[in-house]
Amino acid sequence: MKGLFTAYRVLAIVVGVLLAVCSLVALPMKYLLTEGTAAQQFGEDLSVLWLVHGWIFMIYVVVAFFLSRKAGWSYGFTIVALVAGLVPLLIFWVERQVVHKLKAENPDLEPVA
Amino acid sequence: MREALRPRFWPGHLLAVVLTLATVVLGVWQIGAWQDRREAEARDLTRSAPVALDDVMGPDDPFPGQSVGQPVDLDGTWLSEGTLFVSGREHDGQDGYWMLTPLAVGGGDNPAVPVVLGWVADPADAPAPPTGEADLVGWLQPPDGTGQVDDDPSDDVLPQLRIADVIQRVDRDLYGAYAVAQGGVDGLPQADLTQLPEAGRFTALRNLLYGLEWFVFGAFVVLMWWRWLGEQLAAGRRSDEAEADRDDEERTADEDAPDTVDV
Repeated sequence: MKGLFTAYRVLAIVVGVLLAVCSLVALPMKYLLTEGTAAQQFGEDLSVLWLVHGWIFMIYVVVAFFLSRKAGWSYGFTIVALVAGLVPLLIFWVERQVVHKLKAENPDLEPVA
Repeated sequence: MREALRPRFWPGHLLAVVLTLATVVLGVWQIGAWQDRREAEARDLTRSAPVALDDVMGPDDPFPGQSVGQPVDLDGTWLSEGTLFVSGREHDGQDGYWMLTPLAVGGGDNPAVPVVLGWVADPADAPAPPTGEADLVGWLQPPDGTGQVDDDPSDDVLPQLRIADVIQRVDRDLYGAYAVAQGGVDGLPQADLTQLPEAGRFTALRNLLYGLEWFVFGAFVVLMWWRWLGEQLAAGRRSDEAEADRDDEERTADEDAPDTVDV
């Protein structure tokens, strides 16, 4: 449980940061800037992170699912937690909720990081 | 098993099927895009602008693997005495020959590159070999190399386009490559390229990885569905037992009831 919890938190933050960079930095730079400029090219190169996000998100989804089953979350909250990895910035809020929830239910969970 | 088919589980089953199908469709689509883009890149080199032969390879260089099918400008003098035919070449589904004449690149005593002029059904019908100067564009191709032996070295027909066989017929240094003349020479139909360039290993890798990712998601949907069903069935059994327990308790309570009334 503790291992899953830690893995979940780390993955949530990594997925959240990657998604924020991809959607809030790379995407506007790639499509809004003039084509051919260095910044536009940088945005395009940065778009490779989408792929990284995709694969880490996959691991996140599996870890979050197993955590949800162990912690006995409702299916509604489980789905929100899984989908959060696809909506920019939502995952940070979800991560706080999860930490709150789990710490309230399992006082033995030491504060991590 | 019968329990899992209860109508109240149907929406869950349906959702699992729809999601799994969606991931499979998306995965197949990405893999398709990966293949299409690789093929497009492979073909595209043959359509790119011609470059000078010397920019691609020198006379003594090994064949540059990334330049298969690269159009090159060829400018020089025909060595018509070195004209040969290569057997077993199809065109429009018909078996025939390639007609080939080396071209001294830049003229004079320069090294030559064998140029496939085009396709003929029979060497007897072939036009006279070209002579004089030529300026043409050809697709660069690596020589054949499966080592098939020319069973009759005395004629002008080769089973394979090997530089080692061509060099027997011309007193000239040869490039380690041949060219297929675009549009054919002297009215011959253009020979079909036998070797198309290969796409780079990383071309459209992103599509491949996305495709695989979708399949993994598909597997995950199945896993989620399995876990969900297991939990639902276990919960169902637990509540059945609880109901049974409650029934027992109620019965005992009923039996006890009259006594309490008496007291």
